Amino acid sequence: MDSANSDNSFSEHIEDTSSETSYSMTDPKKTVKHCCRKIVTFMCTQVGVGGLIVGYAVVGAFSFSLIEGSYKDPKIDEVSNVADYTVDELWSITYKLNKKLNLLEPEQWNQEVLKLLTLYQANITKCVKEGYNGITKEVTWTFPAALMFCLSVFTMIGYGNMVPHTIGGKVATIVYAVFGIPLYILYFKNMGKVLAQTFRWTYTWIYRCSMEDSHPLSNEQPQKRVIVPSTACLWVLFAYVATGTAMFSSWQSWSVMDSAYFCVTSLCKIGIGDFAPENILGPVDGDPTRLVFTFVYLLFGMGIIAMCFDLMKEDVTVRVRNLKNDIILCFEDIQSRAVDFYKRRNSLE
Amino acid sequence: MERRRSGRRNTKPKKSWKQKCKDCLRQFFAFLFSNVGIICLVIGYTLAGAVMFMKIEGKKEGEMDDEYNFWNKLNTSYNETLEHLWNIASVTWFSENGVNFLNRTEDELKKFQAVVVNGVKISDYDGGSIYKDRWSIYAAFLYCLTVITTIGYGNVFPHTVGGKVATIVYAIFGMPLFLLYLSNIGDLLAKSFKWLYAKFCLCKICRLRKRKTLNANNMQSVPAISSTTNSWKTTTDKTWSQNLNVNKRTCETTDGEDSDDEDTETETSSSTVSTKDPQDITVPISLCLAIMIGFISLGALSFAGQEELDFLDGSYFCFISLSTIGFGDIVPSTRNEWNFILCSIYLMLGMALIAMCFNLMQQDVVQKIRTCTDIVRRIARCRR
Repeated sequence: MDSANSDNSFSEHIEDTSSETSYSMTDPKKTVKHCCRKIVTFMCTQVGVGGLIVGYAVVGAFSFSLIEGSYKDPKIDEVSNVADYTVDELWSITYKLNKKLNLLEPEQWNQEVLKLLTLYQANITKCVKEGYNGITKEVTWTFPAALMFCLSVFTMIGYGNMVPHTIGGKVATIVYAVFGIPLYILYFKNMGKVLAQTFRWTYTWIYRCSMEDSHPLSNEQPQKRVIVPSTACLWVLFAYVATGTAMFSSWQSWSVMDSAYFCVTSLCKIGIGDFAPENILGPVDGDPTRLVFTFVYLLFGMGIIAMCFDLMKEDVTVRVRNLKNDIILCFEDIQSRAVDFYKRRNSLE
Repeated sequence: MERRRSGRRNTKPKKSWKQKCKDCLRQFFAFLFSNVGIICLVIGYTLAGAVMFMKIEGKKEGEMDDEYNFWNKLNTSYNETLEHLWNIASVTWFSENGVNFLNRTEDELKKFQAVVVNGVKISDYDGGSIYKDRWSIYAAFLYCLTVITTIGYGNVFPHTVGGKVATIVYAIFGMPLFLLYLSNIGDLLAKSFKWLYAKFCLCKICRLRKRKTLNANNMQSVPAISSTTNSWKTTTDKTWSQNLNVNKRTCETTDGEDSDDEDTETETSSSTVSTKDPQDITVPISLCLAIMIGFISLGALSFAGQEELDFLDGSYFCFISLSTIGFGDIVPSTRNEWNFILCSIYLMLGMALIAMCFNLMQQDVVQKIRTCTDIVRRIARCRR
């Protein structure tokens, strides 16, 4: 019982301090302290999680480029063998015809070479079907590419333009995802909350301003919480996708439609992979700032989506509650009317 | 809510027959609309999407934009390569040593190869006839499923502009639907799993309960016991609201007495309803993890048997699919219909199971954190 009493006093103490910090901001020392604490909390939660996720991606990129960089695709050898064979055959055809006729017959030569080319093309097609993708090893697991791969793993986009081939790489991917996905979800929730708060604050501010302009006497309910409508969120999303579309279509030879398709499928985490940010880099030593922009665009876009989710959920719940109330009112009305009707009929009878 | 209702029913067992029937019907309809309905809705949506994509994408031979382009490109590239080769040959044929010739032909061939590789990657050309039955009903169904579950393998993707627009719209409406499915079915599975777990671990719980009732009278502020009592706190079906409430309450009061009161309250209420309420317990994380690993290895085994994969590749495929990453380097083949049906059932069930596990794990983690903070508080208080 003693402990319980002390518990109570302790809790009161806590409540006191919290109420002091929240209500009486007169003491400058406490204000500074409060501010400091808030800043530290913010740094630890939002910035900290953001930094953590970027650091995790960088570490992952290094380790994946180490693990997968040592892998040699047997298909590359196969394709180069096929190419060598074809070149040799070409030479032998040319040489043979040359020896036989002492001059090159275009028709016969063309026929033979066309046959050879068709065979070559069929072989290459077979190789592609079996997993060869035309990218040599050095290009595949560069650091930027590995960074994009890591991003696509822990955000669950999974473009699939780059995949681990070795057993070690596969196991590493699984482990990386197991730890990365919860981290990402943490980031997603945190970012969504912060952005939602900021957006709601901005929206409220604008709303109040506009209301003051039109109705100067609307100071009666300043405490009423303004709920951001879903349409505002949708506009934000639309603007974000449009920005991304403009960005990607200017960098790449993609059409506007393709860029929009890429943005939406990426931000929805579908990641079909027919368009992938690997292409954004273009040649091997493409502009690395583009990659950084893509990385930031995708990560921030996830935050925006989380924000919209947050805000829209609130809006929808309020609307559903209103609808429910309306329906209940309607039913009550009908009920009372029915009761009245029966009463009248009974009295008549 | 449900528990309260059932409790009320227990206190007032004499109900009219009509009322009972009504109640039963209402529950049945609620179940139909909430769980069965949503499953049907998801499947129906996917089927409708499959038919739509088949209509949009499955055009006649040669009409496909990319494939048509590819055909043209391939033909021109054949001609170009031939011409270039002829030039090389006619310039160098007399030199008799092939070095120059070989280098130049190799360059030429590499260009040709790049064209072929790109073309094959973009269109599904497989060396034979140009049109393959890429958008069969199975493939289209699987495509729709991967879009709304956000897996996105990428082995099948839209080529036409209409297909791309349709994908965007389809995803925007499909994903919330699937999220609804996940949360609903995950909740249902979590509830039933908890019930099973409670039945399974009945003896253990009885033992714990006995020890608790013995100890509860003597020492209340010992943290070790408080942890066991805390694990008895309610985490009912309305987890979210309940957790929020409890959190708020603990924030406001933060003392042992109140939580003990709460425990006794739940104890009494549960003991009036029955000897134990299965929704009161939390399932340990290790069990959830074991279920997930078990499900993944089950899938790995079944896929390994069907699609010529080894065990590691199978589990890799299952993990990548269920975590909705979906690289698409290993994809379920849509040639065999049984295979395909198995795969879609596996995906839909698996994602609900994962949602369930997350649900249960979240409860457990929340519980543990609360216990930890309680212990820390007690320790801090003792030192004071």
